[in-house]
Amino acid sequence: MNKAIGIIIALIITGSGLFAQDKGDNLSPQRKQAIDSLALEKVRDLSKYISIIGDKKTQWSEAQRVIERAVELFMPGSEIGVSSLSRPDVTYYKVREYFDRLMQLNYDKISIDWYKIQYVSDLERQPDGTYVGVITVFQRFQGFDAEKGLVYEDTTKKDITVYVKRKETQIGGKLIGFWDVLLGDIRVKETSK
Amino acid sequence: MTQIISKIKTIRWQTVMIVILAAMLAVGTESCNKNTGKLTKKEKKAQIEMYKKQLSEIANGTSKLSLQEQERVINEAINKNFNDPELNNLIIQAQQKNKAAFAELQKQHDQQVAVARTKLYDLIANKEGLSADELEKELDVIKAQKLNDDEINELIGRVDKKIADMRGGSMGGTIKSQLESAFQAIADAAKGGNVTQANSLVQSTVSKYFVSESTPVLIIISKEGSIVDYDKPTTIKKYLDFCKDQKDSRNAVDSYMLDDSGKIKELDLIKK
Repeated sequence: MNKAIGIIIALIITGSGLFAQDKGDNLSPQRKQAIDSLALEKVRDLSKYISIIGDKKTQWSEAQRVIERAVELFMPGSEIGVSSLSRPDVTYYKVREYFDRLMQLNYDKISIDWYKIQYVSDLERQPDGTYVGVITVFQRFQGFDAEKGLVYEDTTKKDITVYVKRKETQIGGKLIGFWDVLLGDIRVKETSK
Repeated sequence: MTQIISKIKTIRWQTVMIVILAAMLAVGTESCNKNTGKLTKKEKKAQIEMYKKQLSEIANGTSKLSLQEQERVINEAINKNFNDPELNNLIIQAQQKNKAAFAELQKQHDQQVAVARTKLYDLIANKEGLSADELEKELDVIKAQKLNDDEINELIGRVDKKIADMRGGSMGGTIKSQLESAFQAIADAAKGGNVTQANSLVQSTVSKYFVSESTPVLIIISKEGSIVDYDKPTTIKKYLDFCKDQKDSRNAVDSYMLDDSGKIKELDLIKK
C-alpha cells in the first residue's frame, strides 16, 4: 500500500515537472539556447527591415509593407532613439514614426548596417514568466548626396531590450505553444564618427 | 403365416412379369439412345428449326444474344453438320453479320481507348489545375469503361499516383523539396535585386501549393523529446515575403497537411 502511494506521488511530481517544463518555467539548456538564438534572430531581421525601409530604391508600397512587418517586432509603445554627431541630445520616436522618418531621410542614398549583434544581458526569467534581456548592436549609417557623394556618417551603439514570453494559440484545432519575442525600446548608448 | 401364403397365391404373376418386361425394354431403349448420341428424325428436325431461328435473328440483327454467344451458336450449327441447304445459307449470313459486328465493336473500343488515352495524358499534365478530388472523379469515369487495355491501365496507374502525391501520400518528399526550392528561389531573386521576380515567385508559390495566403505556418525552433517549441505562428504569404526581405531561406519543411483538394492547409517548418 505504501509502495503504491509512493508511485502515485512520484508520478504526480514527474507529471507536474514535465508540465512546468512545457510551460517554459524550467528550461533545459538546449531550449534556452533556442530562445536566445530566436531573440538574436529577430534583431537581425529588424536590421534587414531597416536597410530595406531606408533604401531609396525601395518602392513606397513595398516600404510600407516592410514597415508593418518591422512594427510587428516591437512591443506596443516602444521607442527608438535617434542621435547625430551635430547635436548632443538623443531624440526618441515611436516605432512607426521612426520608420516613417527613416523612409523620408533627406539623402539621395543611405546605407545602414548593423553589426556586432550580441547579448549584453542574458535573457533572465522574470516573476511573470517573461524572459527579459538586452542585446547590443552597432549601427553604421552613411548618407550620400547625388553630387557630393558621402555627406554624413556615424556609428552608433544601441541597446535593445528583448522580451520573450511563452504563449499559446489554436492552429487548426490544436493548441500550439510558441515563444513570442518582442523588442522594446532601442536606446542610444554612444555615437561616434 | 397362413394368411401371407394365401395373399401370395392371389397375385396374378403373369401381369407382374409383363409389367417388369415392359419397364426393362423402356430403360434399355433409353440407354441405347444415350450411348450412340443419335437423334431421331423428329429431334433432328427440331434442332434444325431451332438453329434456323437463332441464325435468322443473328443474320437480321435482332438477336438478343451477346456477340460471343452468337459466335458460339454459329459454331455449334456448323459442327452439327446438319447438311441442310437453307441452314447452311443462314450460317454464312450469320457469320458475316457476326464478323461485321465484332469489327464494329473493335472500332468503338479503339475509339474509346484513343479518347481515354488523350484524357489520361491531360489528367497527368493537369493543365487545368484540377484538385485531387476532381482528378479522381474524371479518372473514375475512365475506369468505369473497363477498357482492358495495357496502355490505358498504365496511364490510369500514373494518374492514381499523381492523385496520391497531391494528397501527400507516397511522394511527400517531392512537395517538400519543391517548397524548399521555391523558398530558396525567392531568397535568391531578392538577393539578386530582382524584387519583381521575387514577388512573382511568392504569388505563384502560394497559388500552386497553398489553400490561401493565410495558410498558417509554424516554425519549430527546438525539439526535445515530446516538447516542441515554436516561433510565433505566421502565414505563408508573410513567410514568403520574409524569405524575400531577409534574402535567405533559413528553414526546412518539417511536415504539412493537405486539404481534400491536395493543397497545403498547414505547414510546419524547422530551423535548418
